[in-house]
Amino acid sequence: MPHLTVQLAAEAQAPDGSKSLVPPALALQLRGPIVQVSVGVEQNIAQQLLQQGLTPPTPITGVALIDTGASVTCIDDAAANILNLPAIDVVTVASASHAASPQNVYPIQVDVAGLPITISAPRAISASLAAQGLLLLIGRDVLQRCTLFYNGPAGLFSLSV
Amino acid sequence: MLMAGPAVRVGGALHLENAGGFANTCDMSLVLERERAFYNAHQAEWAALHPGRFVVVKGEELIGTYETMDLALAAGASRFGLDSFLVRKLGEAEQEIHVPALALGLLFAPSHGPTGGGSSSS
Repeated sequence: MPHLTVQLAAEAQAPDGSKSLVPPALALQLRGPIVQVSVGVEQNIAQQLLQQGLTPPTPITGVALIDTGASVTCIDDAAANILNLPAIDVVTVASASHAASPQNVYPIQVDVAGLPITISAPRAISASLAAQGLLLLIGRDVLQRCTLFYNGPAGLFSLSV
Repeated sequence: MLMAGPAVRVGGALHLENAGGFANTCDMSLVLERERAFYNAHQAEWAALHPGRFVVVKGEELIGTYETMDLALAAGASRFGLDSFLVRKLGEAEQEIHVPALALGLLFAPSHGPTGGGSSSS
């Protein structure tokens, strides 16, 4: 089973500009379990485009946060537009701060750096993530095919697919 | 300021202008509006005929029913490329979406734990 272990390294910057390393446990608490990913159009769609002599959109790379609280994977809406992803549905998502909003559903595939496989997320929800420095929230629809081990004291986590 | 990166390289985040969470600036309810209305009008009869199969709908036309989501996506893309088309599983209730971190605006919210590290970072 392909396996990825990540230990976060971080440094804090003091008001005087000096930097110091922070412990991995604190880095993981502050940043969460993040991985580098490449996101593109779902592979069945990409194959059809290739068969028609069309070039699938170039995948976009960025940071994904593994979010066990999210029932579904979310992709940044601006990135979805850049990728020219086809919407395959619209769902309504409730929010505490806004009225329930309709969100597009996009079929995507995700490559996690360090894992030699491609993960399909055929019903990823659009959300505004870029302002948080994120391209993707990896939700439980993807995690249902993974084993996630979160070691807080050591400041590391492992993801197996 | 806190800069963090795992042992494997993490970085290169997209810097796209955006709002937070699920706030929208465009009317996404217009996307696939005809398809969803057509599906809602016919889903009962289709579900009786093809229970558990995935349908592809474009405009007011049922393109086909398929055994798997993969086949449905391939069928839709073979006809419409990167244009939008509706894919739903017959007989399946609409999924309830829960993303508390976004709905509550909690992504990377400052913490005030015993380490005190989160509250002073930006």
